[in-house]
Amino acid sequence: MIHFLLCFNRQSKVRLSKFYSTYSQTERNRATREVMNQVLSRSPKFCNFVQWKEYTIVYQRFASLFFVMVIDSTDNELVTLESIQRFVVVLDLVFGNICELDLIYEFQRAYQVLDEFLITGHLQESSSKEILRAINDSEGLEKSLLVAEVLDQHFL
Amino acid sequence: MFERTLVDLIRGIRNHKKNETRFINQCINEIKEELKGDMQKKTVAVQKLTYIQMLGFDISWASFKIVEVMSCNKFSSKRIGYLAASQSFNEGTDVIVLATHQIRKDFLSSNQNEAYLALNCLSNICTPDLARELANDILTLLSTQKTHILKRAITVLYKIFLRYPESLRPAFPKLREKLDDPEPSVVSCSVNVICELARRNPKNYLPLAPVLFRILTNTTNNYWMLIKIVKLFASLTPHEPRLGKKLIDPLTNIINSSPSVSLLYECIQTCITGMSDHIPLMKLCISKLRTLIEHNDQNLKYLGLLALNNIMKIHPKAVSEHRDLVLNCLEDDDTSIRLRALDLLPGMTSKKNIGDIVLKLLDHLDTAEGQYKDQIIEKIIELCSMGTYQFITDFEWYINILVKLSQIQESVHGKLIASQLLDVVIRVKIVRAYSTRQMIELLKNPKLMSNPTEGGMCEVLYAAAWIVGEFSGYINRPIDALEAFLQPRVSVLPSHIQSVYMLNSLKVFSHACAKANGDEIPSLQDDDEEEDDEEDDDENEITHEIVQECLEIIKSRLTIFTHSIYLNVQERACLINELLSFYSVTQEQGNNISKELISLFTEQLNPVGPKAQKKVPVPEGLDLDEWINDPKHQEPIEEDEEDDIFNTNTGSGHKKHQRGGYDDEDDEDETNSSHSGHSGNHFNRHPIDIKRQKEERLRRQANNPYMLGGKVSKKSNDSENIPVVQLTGDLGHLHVGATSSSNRPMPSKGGKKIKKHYTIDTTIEMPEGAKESDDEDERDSKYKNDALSNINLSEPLTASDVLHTSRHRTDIIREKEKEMAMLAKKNAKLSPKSPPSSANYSEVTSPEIAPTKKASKKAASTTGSVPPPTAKKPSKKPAAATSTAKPPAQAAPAPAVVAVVKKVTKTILDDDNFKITCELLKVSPNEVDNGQVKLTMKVQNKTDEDMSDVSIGLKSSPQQCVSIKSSGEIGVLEADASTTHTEVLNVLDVLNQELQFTLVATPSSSPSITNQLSIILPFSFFIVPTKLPKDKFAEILQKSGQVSAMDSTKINGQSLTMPLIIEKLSQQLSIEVVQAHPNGQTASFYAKTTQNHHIAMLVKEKDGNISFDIKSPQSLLNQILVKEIAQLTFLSKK
Repeated sequence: MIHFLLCFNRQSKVRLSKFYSTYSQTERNRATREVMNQVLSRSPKFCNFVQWKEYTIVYQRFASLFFVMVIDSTDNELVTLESIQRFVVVLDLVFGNICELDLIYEFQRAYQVLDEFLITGHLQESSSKEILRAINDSEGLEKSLLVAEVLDQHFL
Repeated sequence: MFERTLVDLIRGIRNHKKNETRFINQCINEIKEELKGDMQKKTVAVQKLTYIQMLGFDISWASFKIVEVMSCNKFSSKRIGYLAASQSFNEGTDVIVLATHQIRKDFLSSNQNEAYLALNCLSNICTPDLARELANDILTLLSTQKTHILKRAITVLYKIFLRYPESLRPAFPKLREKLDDPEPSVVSCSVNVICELARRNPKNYLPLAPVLFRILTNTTNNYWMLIKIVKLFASLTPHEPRLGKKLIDPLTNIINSSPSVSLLYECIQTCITGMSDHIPLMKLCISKLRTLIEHNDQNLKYLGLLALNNIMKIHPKAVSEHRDLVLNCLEDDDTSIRLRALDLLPGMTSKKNIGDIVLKLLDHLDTAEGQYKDQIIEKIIELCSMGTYQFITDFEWYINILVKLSQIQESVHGKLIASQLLDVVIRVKIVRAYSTRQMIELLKNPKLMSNPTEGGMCEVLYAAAWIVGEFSGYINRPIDALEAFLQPRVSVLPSHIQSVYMLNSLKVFSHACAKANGDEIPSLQDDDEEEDDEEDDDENEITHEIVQECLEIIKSRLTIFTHSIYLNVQERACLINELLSFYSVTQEQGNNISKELISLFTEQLNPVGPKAQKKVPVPEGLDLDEWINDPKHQEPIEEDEEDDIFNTNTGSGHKKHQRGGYDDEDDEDETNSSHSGHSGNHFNRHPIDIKRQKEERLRRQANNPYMLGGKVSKKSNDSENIPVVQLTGDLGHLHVGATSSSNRPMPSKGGKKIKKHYTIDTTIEMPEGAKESDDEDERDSKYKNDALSNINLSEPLTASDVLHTSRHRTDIIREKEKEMAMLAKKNAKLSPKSPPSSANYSEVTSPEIAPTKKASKKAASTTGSVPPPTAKKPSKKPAAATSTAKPPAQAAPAPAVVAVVKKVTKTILDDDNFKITCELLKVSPNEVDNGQVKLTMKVQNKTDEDMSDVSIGLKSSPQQCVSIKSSGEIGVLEADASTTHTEVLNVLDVLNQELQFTLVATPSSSPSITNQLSIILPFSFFIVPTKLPKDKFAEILQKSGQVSAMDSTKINGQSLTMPLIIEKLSQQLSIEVVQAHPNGQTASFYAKTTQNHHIAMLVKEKDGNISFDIKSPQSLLNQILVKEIAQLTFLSKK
């Protein structure tokens, strides 16, 4: 299973983080720091897998951002790499040509996409179409609820 | 006031790049204020906190507010709350329990999105408590038709299993059903969960193999799921070999045809774990891996090597064919790929190519950095030392390699190289002369001494110095060696290296003397022939002049070491100094003691197996766990103990005590032995004297209980000319390799002992598989203590396999009442004659001295499994409260002793000044601490003035009860305040149930008051619930004296049935039934007091009248019991 997911830039600023195994805040910070150091020290020519403690780090760089998943060493590295790519593709579809700023300001939406994609460190839905539909559904619902609220407040 | 929005916060953080932390802390302070505001403000605050948390700040202090936002009715707020919770909560967040109900409500919300949120959040924050509470709800969700909820529910189930393993058995059938779901994504989620579960305990999931097999063969496009299935089979196949055979075809198919590399890779991994004995399949795997490794993609290359490494463990030969490929990977730019290739090297090496491979690695070493550098050094040594140097043909070459390795800066492998040098030189005789010369060069090399740190490369000098000294017979220019040993720079080295330098300079000198005098040097005898040619070439014959020069050098340079700050160095230096001045003195007198000097160092040293010490058998009749002497005599011996243990293998280590190992040598022993030689000469003692001394010491050691090898050394004592064992013959038994630092040569006296040692080494050496099994244990232990992996799914479900359901306590009470009513109805039908009596209706507990209104309201409860919260509060309906209590004997299954927690509350004092209520609790009524009672007194000051010096003291005699723990003096008790006083008592006398206390208090305006408190313990507190088999019961009755006194009592006019009596006796008095007559009229009972009094009772029922015959050792006991029975509450009607 995926123990945690991180997304950070070259300056070690975390943009997304999701822990599927339980860690305290200090453990989270330490793990984040160690993983970032491992990944950032690697040259772009190197392969995308690093061994770290008893885990394997799978990472992929997209523009300025690194997406990292930390998995059991018995897990399939390639399919994890593919799921990173899939996640980024879905993010791109949802945000429409995503950039780092989108992630910073709309991190909640990004988390929502992530929740549709992964749950308890496992793949929940592999089809990007399905994820997109679920996100649109919930956003549409939220909008309509918001409108209803505003109407409530002002007219009734 | 103006508040920052989320965007403001983010912008602010981005604008304060230099002092980000300060800015955030400022924001956190603002947020703390905002959290006090209305829901809208709170929501924004929580949103901001979520962002701050992502940057690594702790927001656990806001957990409660997050729960509040989670519970908001507005969907947008709820979502923010749930996100914050799932990001920041962890095992330690205690407010999670507050969210339980909210989460449950949201599962069933009409808005599907709310259910998604709740499920997603639960998957992140699940704690054991939440899992227990919500397991049932999740299981209900599994019946839903909504795919999106179903998928999430299935995955969350895994988290529930992890945190609440008991749920696995009852929930598994439902999960199993989902494998047949028509929706592929649902099947996929179930496979995910089962795959994770199967990694912990594969055997449980073998029955699923047919279903999984079907899914494997029928699915074509969803390779995400196929990967999981194939992985799942990897855990199953080792437990069911037939499965492997069945899988060969489909897996071959996938490997040959699948376009997905990740699936292909997974199949190969599964083949390696499950089907490794199928050669064609393995060949196919290897050829596929070859294409992966040859691929341009670094990732595939890396994984290919990783998988190849797995195959190598099983089929090393098949892999070694691809040597070229692996060697090419050593050239790769990526260190992680090179490291994987390094892992493969041991399988690729042979006599022919080891030279090339090592040279290549040395090339890499020039450019390598950090960890990779150390890995290469380690690998070179591993390759060369493999199979006790089986691939090495030219040892001079290997010594050169080691010397080269020692030139590498900043490596952590100094010790490894040093121990290799020692090992090679000791094992391979022909290389000694060569290596001695090399080592002198090494000693002279300033590079190694440039930056000496303990454990660094300078450790090599340790080995070098020892080799030069030990084999100084090969040295033709001792002055060179001595100059190297005694150069002033040496004093910067770590102390253990310096002391080796000292001792070995003495060895060099001794050898030089011996050579100059033409003495025979025993240690060189064996290989003199080979050395002869070289020595002939050398013109530098050692003369007395040279020896004299050596002496001068040593004497002049030794001063710096005799003043060393390290004690061990100083000691050695002084010793040598003394020895040499003695030498000079005797020299002047015309005596030459060079023979004696060299005799200190003539013994051969042999390598010792790394585990030899552990494998020394314990002599027969020696129990190491027993005290040999009384502990107090131990101290004086302790100091020697360590030395003796070190010497056990080799008998007494006398004469020759130099070590090549790393342990700080047993200096004491060493100096002792040197001294004995020294002083023997000094006082011109006869050799016989020395011998006698030696014998004496051996005898002492033999008698020393800590000296294991006493007998051995005795035997070998008189053997002088025992042939020295040939090293080469024994090489096979010995361990070499990375652990060779423990391979240090140990001193040994004679051949017999060496032989003895080797037999120890081989006979006790563990079989080949032994080490592997160790590793296996370790691997298993990861999940060993894990409750989830210990669950067996193959057993059928039993009544105990139910999920926890939480209900409101009033529901439980109502249900119980109903049950009781039913029971009473039944009873009334059975015995219609006897009119229901309400005489003993409300009394539950034992006698009371101050029956007040409050006291009659107390609830006594005996609970076998779940102590219901109702028992704590005095219930308004005593009948209902008692009815919640289950008979413990029925609730608990078979064990003879049933643990019952008894609790009684009563008011013991209620006057103008004080009101004291007291709660009695029987603490762990088992056989270990019999009769412990926990007493919690709640003292309330009813007056309107403060009381000082309030204290409660135990008045009862120590024969009756002893206070184990007391909360001590209460001190000041303010007006109208109350406090609690607790005591844990050990009640020793069963026959006296009354506990007496004295309460002393001084009111501020009047003299002190003293109150006597008396608490009567219920009899049941003294009874250890015991289920006794019939035969034991008969035995007790037959034994005279066991139950000599007999008393009888009767209860009349109640419509009681035997089952009810049994229940009540067990429930209220903890007296258990032994045998009930089938006609329902007679039953025998048994009880045991905390003081092991046996109580036997026979109960007869006739026309509603009950007679009790009680037998026990003392009549007093019977009387108490009679009283208790009279007060029993028999509930015949609601």
